[in-house]
Amino acid sequence: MSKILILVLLLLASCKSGEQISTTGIDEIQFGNGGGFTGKEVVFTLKENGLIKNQNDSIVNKLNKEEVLSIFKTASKNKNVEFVKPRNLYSFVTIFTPSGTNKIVWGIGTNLAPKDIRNLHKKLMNKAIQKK
Amino acid sequence: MKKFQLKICLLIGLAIVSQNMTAQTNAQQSSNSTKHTVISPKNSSGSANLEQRIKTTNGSFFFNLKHKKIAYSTLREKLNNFFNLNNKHEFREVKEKSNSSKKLLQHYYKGIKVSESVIIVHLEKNYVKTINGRITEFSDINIVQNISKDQVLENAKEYLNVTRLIQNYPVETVIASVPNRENRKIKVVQRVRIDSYTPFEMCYVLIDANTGEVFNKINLIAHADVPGTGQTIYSGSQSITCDSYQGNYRLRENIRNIQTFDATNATDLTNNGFVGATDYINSSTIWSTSPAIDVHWGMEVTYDFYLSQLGRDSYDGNGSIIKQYLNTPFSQASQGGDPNNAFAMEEPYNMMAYGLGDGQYMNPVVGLDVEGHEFTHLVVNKNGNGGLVYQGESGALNESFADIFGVCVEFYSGVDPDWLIGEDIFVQAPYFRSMSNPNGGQQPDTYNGNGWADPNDLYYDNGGVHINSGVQNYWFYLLAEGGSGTNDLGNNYSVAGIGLANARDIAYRNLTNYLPPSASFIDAYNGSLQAAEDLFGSSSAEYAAVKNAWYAVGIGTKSYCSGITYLEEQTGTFSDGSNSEEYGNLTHCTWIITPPNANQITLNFTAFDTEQGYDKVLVYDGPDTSYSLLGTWSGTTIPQTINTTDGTGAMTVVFTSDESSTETGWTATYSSTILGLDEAILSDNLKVYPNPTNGLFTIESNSNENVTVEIIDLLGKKVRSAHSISKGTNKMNISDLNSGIYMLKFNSNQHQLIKKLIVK
Repeated sequence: MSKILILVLLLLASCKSGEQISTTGIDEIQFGNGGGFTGKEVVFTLKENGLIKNQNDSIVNKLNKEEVLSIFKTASKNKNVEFVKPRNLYSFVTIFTPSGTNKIVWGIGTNLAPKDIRNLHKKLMNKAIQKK
Repeated sequence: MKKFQLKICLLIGLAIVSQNMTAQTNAQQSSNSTKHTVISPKNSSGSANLEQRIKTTNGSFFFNLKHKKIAYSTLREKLNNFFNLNNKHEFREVKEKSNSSKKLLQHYYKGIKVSESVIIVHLEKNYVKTINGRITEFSDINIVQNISKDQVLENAKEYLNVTRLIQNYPVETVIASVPNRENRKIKVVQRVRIDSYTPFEMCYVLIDANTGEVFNKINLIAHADVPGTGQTIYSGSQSITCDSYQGNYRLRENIRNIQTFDATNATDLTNNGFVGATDYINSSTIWSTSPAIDVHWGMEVTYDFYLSQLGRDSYDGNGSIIKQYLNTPFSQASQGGDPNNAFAMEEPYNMMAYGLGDGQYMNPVVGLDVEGHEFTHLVVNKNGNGGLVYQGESGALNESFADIFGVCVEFYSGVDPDWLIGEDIFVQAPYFRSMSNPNGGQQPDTYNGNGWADPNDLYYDNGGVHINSGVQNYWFYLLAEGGSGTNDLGNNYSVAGIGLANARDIAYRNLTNYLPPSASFIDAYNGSLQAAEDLFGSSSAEYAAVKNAWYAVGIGTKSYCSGITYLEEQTGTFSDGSNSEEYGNLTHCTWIITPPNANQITLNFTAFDTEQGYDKVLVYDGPDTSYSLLGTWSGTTIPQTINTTDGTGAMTVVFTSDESSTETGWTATYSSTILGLDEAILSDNLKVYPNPTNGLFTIESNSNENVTVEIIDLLGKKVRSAHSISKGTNKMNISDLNSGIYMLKFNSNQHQLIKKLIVK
């Protein structure tokens, strides 16, 4: 009986985490840098399952659920931020939700974009290049 | 009551005492002011005004006039008084500075620049905030100049034993403080810059403008700079400048202020650059193959291009340090960066960065046009109007200017120049963009044409900044090189190229004078036309070419006519050129009708339809617009016959249209009354000059006949009786006559001729 209870509790706990990520309302986040001579972007994608992939669809890192939840919560809080001020070299965070897509763009080195977003980008980039 | 009266008395008494004290203080101040008409920096914030004289310290001064509320114009009017200089001195504002709150005033004496003598004025809310600088103080000097410019150059070369120059610079006449035994003396000197390979020199030589004696040599090379040779990846072996440092050499130089760094191990980015970036070090001045040599040499060429061709010293025009980094964290894949890219970082960084390529798609991104492109982004950002916002149409213009001047740098270098962008850097692909064929680089060549990106879709290349740049790129190519075809809108175009230098100057003037930060393509169209008018005039072929090149890329209307057309047949038909279409906006065309031996021109319009009151035909009684205006016509009524005055065998017709609304235009025929055969014979043998005259003129006769001349005014009154003209030169004097038009009536036994003479 106690084993069954523990199993049920564990299942509930895992369900709770899963529910929390989905309840953020974020489908996925794209982030990276771009511009310059070519105008190309280096794009990484973080999905609900914690996988960060590069634009060649290769997995560059896998985040645990807590990390994903934290990042998606920040993204959810800032999903309606309107900020598009690129420079020749720029950073971006694109937030995908069921209701639409919001791309936030700012010149690298400028601190005009909301701090939450800049910190989110920094955190994501560090995860993408597996920098502690 | 008494107490009250006492109080009143005391108050009145205090008031009187107070008033007297105030009056005394004012009187003292006034006295002091009269006595000491010189103000010094210490009391400048006190009661100084512009009637007072500035006291300088060896020419240096600094005053805060913030609380004086002095208008800039007032300050300029009073400057000579301020510095106790006579009216032979003047201060001219140096233009092209981006900071409108700062004014730089250059000192001139009798129109000659006084070297290193400038005033800097800072403004705040249209009032003078501070004034500072260093001026060369002198009253009157001899400005005689007996030495030719060629002699100056020869003297300078001889003085330095120069056998091989790097390049020539113009000789400049300036007033300078030069050594004179143990003192210094203010002299008019000829100053020439000498850059030479043998011996290696970069210096100014100052030569006495009167005697040719060499006064002084001012080195431009800091001791550390040395010439070197470097092997580039893409441009062969090139001469570079590096500096000696602790027994080795670095890719830095002090003249152009260029510094090239390796950012492979850089960590953070600060306003001063990448932390952890290191110098490229070599044990000799001969550098082996490295992408760092490409960007160092490339930036030297870019700097030289901007300075020598456009008069711009560094990206900001103020000679600021140019820093560039290779392989920054933003270019390293392991850092989440892109090695296949290069970029410019604007304020507050003002630096450039280059990737080393991934070796599969791209080699190092260090082609010469890349350096020119990235540097130009910094120029755009410092264009004096707030740069160009990097999205939508303004972003496309930003990218386009970077491509335009990137290509210009390549042509300036003479090293394999072409109209391709990024042709060096790919492993396999031939190029990244093409200015002569934008479609080949997946760019549109027509505004709203094939491949045009929605400027409002900021998710896609920030509104197509690297895509729609193809439109102005192609405009520039056509403007420089010319071309014809049909654009994506179905419009046929034909552009007569005006050459790269002229196109470059128009583009640069537009960028630095007329484009606001959020400029659209129509702003670039209007600004470039204004720039062409500034540089070449609105009736020039260059102006027409600018317009036709924009029409070719889908902006504006065609210029059906251009410049000045000479009509020399005895009769003819001409029109605005639009035929069955409507003439273009902003047309400015001129026709000069000058058939040989014509005595009078008659003009008849057969069709006439122009925008009433705005698009006009002007007709002048002579061979240019300085002659009397016979009339101005617009609207739909066909003008009546127009004649030049009898004896005037030339007519000028000008057609102008404004920036909007066009009609079907006009057609006209002209005929001319030609001098009879007899007249023509006499005309060939008689020359009158100068005409117009101030009263003294010459009649040169080559006729073997006995010829007389009489002078008649416009009312037919004879003002000079018949006077015999001999073969050869005959001096005439009618300076006693009033200004106006007179007729010279020549008679011989067999012939008669009337010539018009204008007395100024």
